[in-house]
Amino acid sequence: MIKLVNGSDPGSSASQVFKTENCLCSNWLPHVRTLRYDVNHQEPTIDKSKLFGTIEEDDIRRFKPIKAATNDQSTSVFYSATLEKFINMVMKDGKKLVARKIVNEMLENIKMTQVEKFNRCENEKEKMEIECNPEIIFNQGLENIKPVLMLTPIIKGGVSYKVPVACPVHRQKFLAMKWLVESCRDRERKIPMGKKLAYEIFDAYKNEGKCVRRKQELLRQCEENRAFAHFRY
Amino acid sequence: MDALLRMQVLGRIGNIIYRHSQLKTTLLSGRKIPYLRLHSKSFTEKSLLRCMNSVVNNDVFRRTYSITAEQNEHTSLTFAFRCHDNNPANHTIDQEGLFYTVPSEDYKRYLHKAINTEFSAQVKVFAESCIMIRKPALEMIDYIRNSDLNRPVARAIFYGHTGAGKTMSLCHVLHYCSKENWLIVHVPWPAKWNKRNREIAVSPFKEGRIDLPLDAAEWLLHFRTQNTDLLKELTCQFSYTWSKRESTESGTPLIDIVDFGLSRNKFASDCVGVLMKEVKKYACDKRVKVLVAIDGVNGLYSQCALKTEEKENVLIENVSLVRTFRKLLNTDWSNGFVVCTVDINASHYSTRENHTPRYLLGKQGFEVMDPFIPVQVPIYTDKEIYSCLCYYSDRNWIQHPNGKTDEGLKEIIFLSNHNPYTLARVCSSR
Repeated sequence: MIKLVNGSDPGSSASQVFKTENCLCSNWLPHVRTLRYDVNHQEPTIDKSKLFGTIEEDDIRRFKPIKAATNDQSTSVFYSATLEKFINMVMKDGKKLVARKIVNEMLENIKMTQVEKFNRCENEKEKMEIECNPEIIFNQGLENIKPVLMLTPIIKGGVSYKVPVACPVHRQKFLAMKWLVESCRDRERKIPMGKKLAYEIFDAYKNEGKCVRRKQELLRQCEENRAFAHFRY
Repeated sequence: MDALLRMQVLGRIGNIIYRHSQLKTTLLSGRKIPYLRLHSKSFTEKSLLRCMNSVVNNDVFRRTYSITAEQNEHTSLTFAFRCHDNNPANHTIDQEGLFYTVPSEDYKRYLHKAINTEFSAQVKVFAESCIMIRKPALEMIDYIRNSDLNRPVARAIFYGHTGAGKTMSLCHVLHYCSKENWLIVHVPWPAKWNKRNREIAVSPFKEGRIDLPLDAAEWLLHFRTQNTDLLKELTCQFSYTWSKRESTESGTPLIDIVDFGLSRNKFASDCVGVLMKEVKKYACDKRVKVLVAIDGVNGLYSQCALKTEEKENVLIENVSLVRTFRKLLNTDWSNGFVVCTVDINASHYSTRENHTPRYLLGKQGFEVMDPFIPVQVPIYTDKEIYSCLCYYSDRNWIQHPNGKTDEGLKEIIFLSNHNPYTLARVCSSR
């Protein structure tokens, strides 16, 4: 079983070799602003199949402390880190139950339209092309909204320039979700949020709609400012 | 490894898979395989099997092979869940837990107003309306079939927790009686009439009475769709004068009264009263068998939130529609059956502690309904819940690939606590 090891241990000198960038956990997202844990702490194991059984002698978890799992993380087979992050972004005033309900409604709405199309379709070929899984549609829609480049302000000689820079993965994810939620909040108030999100996701899945246009707008601006690209260094 | 040896090894592996059918099914399903035994004296085959055991339980191997699991139906979801007999008269306890399809004409005619919004959305998505055959409904159909119709009318009540399936049992009974050509008097949800925002009018018939013109018209349309043929046959036995210029002579078909009420909303509530009087008389004369089905009968005996134009509270006894349907619950007529449900959501917010009939009907309601046949509608048994999950899986409602695995099913069942309504909600986001 895993032993919790304090940072100030003889093994800690060896632990400095392991940097957090080498962490194999795919769910790793860095915190913004303040870090509650220090650099040594590892992400918890959520995958149920990896929880039981022995770990290797040189596994990093034997030597480093481990962060506590958050309330969102669970060993459920239906757990999805992207969806949990999205629920947090939809949430307002800390009302997690409402946010969770909205996101579940969004998935339900996506599923209802697609499954209806599937069940009523008579053509076998067309049937195979209809994607019914709402999570796949959601993830694909999000991928279509993620911008590849972004603009950062860099000051050179007293002037602030907007320089196009490669958008890091976590920033891409954040921007995609943020734009999605913002565009839905701007819409008509009488439509439930779950439905609005479903409509936006469908548009993004087909590479149309408000969010995709916003991403294309950003990429266009990056293209315009490409002369400043060398200001990166 | 050189080519010849590789071919031999692959051939041996293929041989093992071919002979070991359990291995084949478990490989396809992507589950972890317990140590396999192959009764083979051959040393090479035994060692190959040992290698395969370690390979097959490898994560990557399982992950790639479990993709095919989505395409095949998982072993625990291969129950037979469909009943091929769509006539409720032929349903027996042997078909408990199976789903039968309500033909779409019957659904549009009898049931589409009887069910809640979630089920009607489900019917739209699944492109068919299926109801599960369960014990409470079968029990009720049995009572109706064996009841002595010469005696005063028998009353029966479905009761149970929210989401247990009371309304669906009522729909099953409704479908049965419609097939047996009974006249159906079905009130979908009388508690709707107790709400603050209903449009009210003062009754032209009696002083102090309150009419609900739009609600009465809505109910008349529903009544008409359900019983068009019978209403065309039956004629008025009395003549009615609505106003100075409008009157109905005796002998006109009842459907004319319905149409009159639909066109003149002012008299719609009175039309309802007149129709119920006629229907009762016809039932006593043994012209027609009448089923009175009220969903949420405790709504007729709970608090009313309506207010008159003078901002005075309206007593529920003074609402004409409520009075009409309360009269049907009495035992002063025969040749019929009264099936109701008591629903906790039909009562006022202050009286929602208990789901039992005595508590929900209140003193007045209970005195009217007593004695009645209580039929409890329980939550799903294990057999029923697996049947339901098979149905959802067949209709492509469970989309998450893990939703069809043993663990996923266990989780869904746990989260829903065997409650039919909660099961539908939990499955909707998986």
